[in-house]
Amino acid sequence: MKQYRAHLLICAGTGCVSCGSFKVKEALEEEVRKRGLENEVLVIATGCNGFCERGPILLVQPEGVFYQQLKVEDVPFLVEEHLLKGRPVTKFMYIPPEEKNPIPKMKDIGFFKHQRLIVLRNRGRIDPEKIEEYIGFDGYEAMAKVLAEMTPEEVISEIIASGLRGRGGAGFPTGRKWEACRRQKATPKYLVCNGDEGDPGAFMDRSVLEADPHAILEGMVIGAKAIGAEKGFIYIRNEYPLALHRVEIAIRQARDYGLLGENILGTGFDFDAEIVQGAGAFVSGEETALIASIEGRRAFPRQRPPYPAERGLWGKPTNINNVETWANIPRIIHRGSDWFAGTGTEKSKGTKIFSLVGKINNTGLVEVPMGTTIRDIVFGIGGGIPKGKKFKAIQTGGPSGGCIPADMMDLPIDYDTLARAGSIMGSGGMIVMDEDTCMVDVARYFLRFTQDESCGKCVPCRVGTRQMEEILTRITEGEGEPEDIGRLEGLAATVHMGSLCGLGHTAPNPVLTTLRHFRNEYEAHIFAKRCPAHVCKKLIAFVIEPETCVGCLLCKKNCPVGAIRGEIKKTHVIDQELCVKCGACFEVCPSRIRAVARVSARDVEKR
Amino acid sequence: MEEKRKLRIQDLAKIRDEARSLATIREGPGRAKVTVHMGTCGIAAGAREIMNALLDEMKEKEVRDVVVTTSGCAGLCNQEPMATIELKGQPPVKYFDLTPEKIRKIFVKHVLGGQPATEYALAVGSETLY
Repeated sequence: MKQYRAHLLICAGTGCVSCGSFKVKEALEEEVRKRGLENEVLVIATGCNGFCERGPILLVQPEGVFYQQLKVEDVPFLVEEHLLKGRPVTKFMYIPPEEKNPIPKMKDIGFFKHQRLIVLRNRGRIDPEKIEEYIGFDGYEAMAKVLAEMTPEEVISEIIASGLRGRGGAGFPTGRKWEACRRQKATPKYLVCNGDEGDPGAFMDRSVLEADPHAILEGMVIGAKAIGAEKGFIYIRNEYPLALHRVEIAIRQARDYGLLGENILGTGFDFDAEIVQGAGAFVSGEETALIASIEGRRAFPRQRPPYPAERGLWGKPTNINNVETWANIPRIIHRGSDWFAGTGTEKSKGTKIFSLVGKINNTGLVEVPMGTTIRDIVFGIGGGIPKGKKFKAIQTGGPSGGCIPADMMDLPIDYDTLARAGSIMGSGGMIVMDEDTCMVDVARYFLRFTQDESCGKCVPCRVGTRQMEEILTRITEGEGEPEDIGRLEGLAATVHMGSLCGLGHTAPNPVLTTLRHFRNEYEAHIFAKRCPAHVCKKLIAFVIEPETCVGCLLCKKNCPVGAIRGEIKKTHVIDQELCVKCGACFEVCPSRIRAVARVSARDVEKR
Repeated sequence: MEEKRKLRIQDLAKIRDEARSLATIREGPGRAKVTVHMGTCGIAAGAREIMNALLDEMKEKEVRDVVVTTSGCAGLCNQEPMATIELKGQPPVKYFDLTPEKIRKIFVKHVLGGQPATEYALAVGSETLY
């Protein structure tokens, strides 16, 4: 590697790649060559920066100038202006919603400046496909320290002292888990990295695997030394081709350098890791189902105890941790447990990565200290709700979690506060909902997901979730009965109690939390046959306000079923019999006119 | 891929130091910034050679924590090629009518030595840049 005066760090996470960042990278390289700058300027592909909403993203160092939504055709101008003439190009910079002035530097952008990076420290900074770059930023140093200087007991007590808890969602103290596995006499012992990330809208693990694969390998070698394991499996979903690719490269490079395999770094310690590709069943993320899947069987959970620490893969002691947990390990050893425990709340230490999606301006991946409030995440980092809508609730923990209403937004997020609010930390999915979201519909969406993904082993989960989904569907269609709320609560308790694994155990959470915080919406659907957010199709109607309609024919042309009658410059009318409530008319009616309204179906009948 | 030599613990530090020094640039501004003015006038007057000489000098002296950047025309086209050197916490100094030899001397004296090379300097102070 040579010395360059500028590094162009182009984001090559899945989000940016799907927006064309590889093409932009090629264009940058070509343009740099064309301008004769190839000895001065280096182009590097990095892991995900998290600001996926704005991809493809380019960071120009050393100035720290941040460019976003770059297209191939922007590249020649950008290279000429910024790199040749030294004039940063404002038109490719980020402008916060509803503001006028661009923010030139990454560190000044709200999305980035409120974050604290421990796990994602290398994101957007190193090329994840080059082991030398990982080593350049202190990579494998913690591993060397552990192998050369520390006893297994010292490693475990360091992890216990750090207060690290499992980032897969349940929050079990990692050091204790390791200790339990270490105490087992049977050999060999195995390690598993659980990358079976399945929550809708969640992509924390994918991003870590893509941006910093060596951190996971390093964490696993440290764990192996502490536990006495000799083999590790990294379970990654098939839907994550880029993550698979980068971890494969990382394993190969680490083996070539003697950082994996026999006699690591000449210390006499042996450990190797391999990838297992998952077929993408949600239940595989449950640890006993994951074990079955790695062994080549159908991903069926089994009863615990015995826990995997006792009887895991092929009946041998096995320690399973989530991707994000593994990635924390090298940092804790490198910087010390006191440093790590200095961040976070009393019982939840360190940071947590969240994937922020839904009705939010800055969709993306964020890492914040434990104890950050929902308000700081949604408004400080997320930039608030688009189109000036009101913030209504946030779903944490995916389908196993629950929703937290806007009036609780000053809640500091950690494992315990979320549990008290009826939700869970989960792996870190955060779905933001605005005033146009129907909470019954949301509960139904998640129930349908868990019902689809239920493996079918336990009757309460298999049949119970189906019954619950049917009741919820009935409610959203205006066929709800007064007894339905009680039925849902009863079924929820049965499913919760009668299921073996976490999937069934937590499946009722979305229903229970929406019932707790938004009971009035259920009641409106059941008793008044109204959907307050105007979402549930059977309960709403689209009408054209005769006073405001100018008769422009736009809605008539766009109606897919020909339900709109009317001539130019005359008020249009929607035939409610024909209308399929697709909302096309609502979308196309010009915003300065807004003649199409969404109303309760009952109000139309009265008209 | 050819078989690589397996690393020992002491090799790790070597790789780290080399990779790190070349990547310090990614961690933001260093202790000094050298701006080579590269407007059309600068390029025509030979700013490219100034840049090459500068990068070469840095490579020879193994200097990694100095930022080298470009900027547009400074408005003094007849004084090109020009460069501005800014040490952390000190006012920028503009150098004019440069040659590759001059910039090498200036680099050693000002950036490495901390003393502005007044014999080649045009002025102290600068317009605001990013």
